[in-house]
Amino acid sequence: MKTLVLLVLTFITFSACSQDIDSLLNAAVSKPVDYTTATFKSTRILNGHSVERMKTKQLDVRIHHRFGEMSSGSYEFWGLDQSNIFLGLDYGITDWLMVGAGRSTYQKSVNGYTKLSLLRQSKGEKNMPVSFSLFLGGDANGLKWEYPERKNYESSRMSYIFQGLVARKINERLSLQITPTYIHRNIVPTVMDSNDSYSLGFGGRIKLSKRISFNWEYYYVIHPFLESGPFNRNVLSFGFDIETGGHVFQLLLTNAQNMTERTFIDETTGLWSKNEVRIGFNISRVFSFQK
Amino acid sequence: MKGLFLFAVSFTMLFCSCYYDKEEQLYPKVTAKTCDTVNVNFQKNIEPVINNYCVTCHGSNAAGGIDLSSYDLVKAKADAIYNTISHSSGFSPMPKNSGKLDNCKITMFRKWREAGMPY
Repeated sequence: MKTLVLLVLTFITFSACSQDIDSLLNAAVSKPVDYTTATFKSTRILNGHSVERMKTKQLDVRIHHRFGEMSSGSYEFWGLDQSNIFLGLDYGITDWLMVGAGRSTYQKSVNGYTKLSLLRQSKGEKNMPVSFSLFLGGDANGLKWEYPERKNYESSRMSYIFQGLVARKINERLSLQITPTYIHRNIVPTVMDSNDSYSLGFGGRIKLSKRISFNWEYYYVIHPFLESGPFNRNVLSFGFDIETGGHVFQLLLTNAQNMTERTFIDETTGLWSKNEVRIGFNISRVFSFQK
Repeated sequence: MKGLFLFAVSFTMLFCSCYYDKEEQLYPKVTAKTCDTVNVNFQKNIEPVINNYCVTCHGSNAAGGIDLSSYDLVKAKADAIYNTISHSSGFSPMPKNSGKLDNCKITMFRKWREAGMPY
């Protein structure tokens, strides 16, 4: 796997060189390229990342909540009495390079990532049918050690996430995305478990009005990390994006309890068939530092 | 171009810190050193287990009215906690939607109760 990652990163470096040459040629020829914009309203489809990224010097402040199971009934106010929280910041270094960091109440985990846009859907002089971004992240479990007497390694806290985000804006109303995902955990419980897991995400949105869209997202776990056990439930989510000026509100229903890539893709235990579904929301506010 | 190159280098370094550890190989046997059921106290032994397995639902959000976010709250519910984690008849098995805790953790909790639940 390390070899494959090195090869991919080497390919990216050389692709950047060729893109510089292409840019010079385009400038000389001066033919317009119509780049697709606003494939999605936000950098998240619902739980997972979309192909969108922040523009240069834009900061996105994010607060995500996932509540308890709606099956818990009226005493628990259908899950609203419990909540998991994620706080995060996304920042656009350039129009094609975004970095982010966040902290989640689940396992007191801290995560950081980079999203790199490699291809943009376009027509005209350049015809590109899809937009393609790479997501690379690290996630650290922040809990105290279960067995403090033994020699514990800080590396055991770490997991790494690698996603390819491939999206196409079909028309003004409909956008679709597939998200092949690889997650690596530095430590797993037994020799029967796998440090590497593979999933495939599908998502999309239908624009209902200028400000509102209906989104959906499904992650299918192809190869789970646990050989057995209650994890590895595929994650299905539905929701609405509501855009109001500088804010985007995402209201959703999901069987995923947690909000980082490692935890919602690979460690979901809830089932839609057992009504183990939760209400959640994401709030995003964008600030621009561009003069 | 420079940014892309730096990005590629930094993430190559990141991925070089990958390990393929298996907990049962790294720590072959649960010995007296790693499963201390003799000198058990809340801070060292019980609190990490509660934080790992319980407070996601039973923190300040208090799922089912059970809040385990402090020493006093865990003490107050110690009997119920032991019955649920040992999957005793008539009690809702815990952790919910997860495998039963290993025998070391369950024994550790029982010993802690028997020792008077020291902090």
